[in-house]
Amino acid sequence: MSTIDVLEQPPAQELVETRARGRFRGTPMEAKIGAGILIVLLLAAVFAPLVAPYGSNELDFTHVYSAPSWSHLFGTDGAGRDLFSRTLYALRLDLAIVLVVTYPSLVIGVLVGAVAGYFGGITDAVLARLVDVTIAFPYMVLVIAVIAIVGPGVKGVLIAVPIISWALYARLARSQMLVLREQPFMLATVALGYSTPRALLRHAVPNLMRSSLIYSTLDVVANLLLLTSLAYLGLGAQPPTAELGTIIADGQSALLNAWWVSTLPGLVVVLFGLGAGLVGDGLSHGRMRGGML
Amino acid sequence: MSVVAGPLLDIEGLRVEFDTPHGRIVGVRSASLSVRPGEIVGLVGETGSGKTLACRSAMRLVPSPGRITEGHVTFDGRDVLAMSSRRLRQFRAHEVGMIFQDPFSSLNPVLRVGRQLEETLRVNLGLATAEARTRALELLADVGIRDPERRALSYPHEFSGGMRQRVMIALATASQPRLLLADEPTTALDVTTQAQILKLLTRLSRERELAVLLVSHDFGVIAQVCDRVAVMYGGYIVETGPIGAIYTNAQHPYTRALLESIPRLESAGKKTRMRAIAGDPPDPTDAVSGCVFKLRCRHRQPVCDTISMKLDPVSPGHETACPVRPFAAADEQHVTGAGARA
Amino acid sequence: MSAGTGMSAGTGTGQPLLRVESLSKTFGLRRTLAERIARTRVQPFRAVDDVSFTLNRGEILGLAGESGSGKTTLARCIIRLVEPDEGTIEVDGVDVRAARGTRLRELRRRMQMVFQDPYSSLNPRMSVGTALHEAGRVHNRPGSENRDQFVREALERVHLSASIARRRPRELSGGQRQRVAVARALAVGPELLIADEAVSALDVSVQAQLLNLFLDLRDELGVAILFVAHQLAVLAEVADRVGIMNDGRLVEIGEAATVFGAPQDAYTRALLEAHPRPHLSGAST
Repeated sequence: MSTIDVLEQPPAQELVETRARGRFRGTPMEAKIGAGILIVLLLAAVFAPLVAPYGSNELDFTHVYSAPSWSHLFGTDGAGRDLFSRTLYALRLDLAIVLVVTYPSLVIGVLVGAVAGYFGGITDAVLARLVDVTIAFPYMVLVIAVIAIVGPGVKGVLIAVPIISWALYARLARSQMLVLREQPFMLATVALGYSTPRALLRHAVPNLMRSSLIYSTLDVVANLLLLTSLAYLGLGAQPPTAELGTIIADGQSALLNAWWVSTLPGLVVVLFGLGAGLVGDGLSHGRMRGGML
Repeated sequence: MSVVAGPLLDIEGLRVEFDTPHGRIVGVRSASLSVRPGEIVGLVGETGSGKTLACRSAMRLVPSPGRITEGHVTFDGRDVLAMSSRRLRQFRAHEVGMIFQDPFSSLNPVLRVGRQLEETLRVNLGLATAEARTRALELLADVGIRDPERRALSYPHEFSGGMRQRVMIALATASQPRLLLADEPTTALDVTTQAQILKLLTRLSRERELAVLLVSHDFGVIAQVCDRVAVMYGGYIVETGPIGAIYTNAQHPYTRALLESIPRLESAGKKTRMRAIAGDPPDPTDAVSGCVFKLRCRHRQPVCDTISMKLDPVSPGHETACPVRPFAAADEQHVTGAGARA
Repeated sequence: MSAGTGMSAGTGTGQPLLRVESLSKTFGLRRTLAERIARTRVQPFRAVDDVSFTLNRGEILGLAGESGSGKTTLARCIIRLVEPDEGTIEVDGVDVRAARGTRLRELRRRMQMVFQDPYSSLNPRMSVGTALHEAGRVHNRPGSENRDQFVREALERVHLSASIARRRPRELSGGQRQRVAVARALAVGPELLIADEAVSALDVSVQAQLLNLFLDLRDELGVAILFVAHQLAVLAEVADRVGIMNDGRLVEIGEAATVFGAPQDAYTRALLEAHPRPHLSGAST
């Protein structure tokens, strides 16, 4: 028994326990509120078929442009369709597209950036230039060109956005990897003889994810706005598909008489942006689960 | 108007708190110390001891969200904590100087060194440009920088760590302050450079009757240059006294344990081991009732759960916060000798 | 404790565990493409200059030097975290510089490194138990099939309780993190530990605990340690032999008592001279 054993017993234990309590700090409030908003919206979208009181295209010409009431929470539009139900279905479509377009791009972008930053040399030179070129490409021009080719509808956004969007994540992940790979725990993976895929995927990438996830909260809102704007302009989802942008566009002509048709769905978009923004803010301020960057 | 025999800096019952989103953190729970003109007082402690905060409080340099919530800081009889911002600025400019651990971040990297010195001389002492320039060169020479004319034209990054620290000392003493606060000034330096800087500080203190408060975690440094030392732990001063008394006859268990866990050159080749204290220094968020060191103390008694950390005298000038006094009797063995080792 | 370190008998008794000969590393020899385009002039800098020494089994060799002396670069060259330019490195007679792939991995397993900064030497997103178990699994260490047992033993070796396994690094103190780093290194069963300023970032009282731990590892597990530090006193407490580095060169090496007591080299003498010495009769009142 060495000296240190004898001294290590009870006194140290008490300290260990106190320390554990003190260090475990929870998520900051803003992130919780934001997450709450997003979860509500997500659940509403996912369970739209169950929650919506009417169908998304239930025409009812006896109740055209009726104001919000108990039977029609958001009122009705020019064709008597219940706006609340339409909004729910629209949210469903929009959120699905936005998630499909944003998060796979994040994954691919982070992987490319991580590889470029980790290996350096020729790999980095080639990949970084690819990223630079992609980012330099005029975004809206590409989107509109793709729509011109494949025709209006959500297809255009589904194709065009990922082509550019991954590059932003790649750039972010790469610059962080350049810093991360010099950290002792990354050097330790080499010293410990861990394979490169293990070091990259198991050790580096989890530490890179946080900034990309924070950035994705902005990206997701931007993509939703792009989607709804294109639909609003008639380039995205086509009527009678329930889509937030088309609903808003439809209500434009009746804005003075039936303000609810454009405004309420619009507020839903704003609410989504608020939720995402709060989550992003909260993540960047707080220490959600600890992490290097 | 200063009284030569009395202390220049007097800190009494200092308490510094931080209100963070994670709760209230008390950085300094209670600290009292004083420094006389020409005296070098050391403040030694580990992480979480509060030594840096206590030092900065002397200049009211506590960063928000930190606040000094209790206590008095008196300089030459004047209440520092009650000073108006204008008065405080004058105080900081003329009467007290501070040097930090990392000389690089206290020097503006885009300004030449001479220019930074000249600026403080012009602004704080009102010297004309030409006068300031001459004086700046004198100051550089005074802190041991050879070839000051050429060196004044250099940028901070062209200097070594030791030279940057000398420049910082020159900057801090340019306006002839009466008190110098040195916060870990040699921690980032090589041992040979450290020796030179410590010699410089000692010389300046003796020559100019400069009161120095030297904060360090390195007891070796403290033992070399300080006249008196205060030992801090967990936000309290646990022992204070003349360096000789503390080094050879420490009365607080923490001080003794700390001295025992300092590595020594003399141990080379011997089979002895240091006696390490178990556990870790306390986290400022942990509140402990009674003695703050009790969880790691070998001499813990039931009374330790209820004591206040008040300092009581051992001998003239030597005080300890430990009421148990386990070493009071039979203290023939010097801590520095072989007898203290297991 | 034999499940732990897997001390091999070695290919020849009496042969040093580690042999370094004429090792050199110069930075700035090759300019990157960007530097060439910008026509920047980079001064080649000899970080390690013709260094030779041996380390025996179960011995603690201290390597002292001030910043810029090359001691950390030397340590990193030995495990090829940095590729040396010239010289020989042999572990138990096996050429380290020529090794590739699996061979290199196996050699690295035998020499593990503990880094200076406790706050960044552990993956912040991994629990202690996961990190320790991973080390064992990757190298198929005996006992690594049983995760709980393996982790418990790994922690015991560094005198930490098993409850630490669930924790993340940020819930631990600096001293505890450093112990976990040592435990991780030991989990792959090395015969040599390279401690690169492993106690320099710790409080003095915690430092003493870690130093005693290293002594225990030498005495109980027979692990050899290359202890790199800038503080001479630290080496005086733990090292059997000490080498002094200056400007990339190894200027003196020998038994600790000799190097510290009767130094041959002028630089060593200067270092010892500069060491703070108590002046206890101060001008106190």
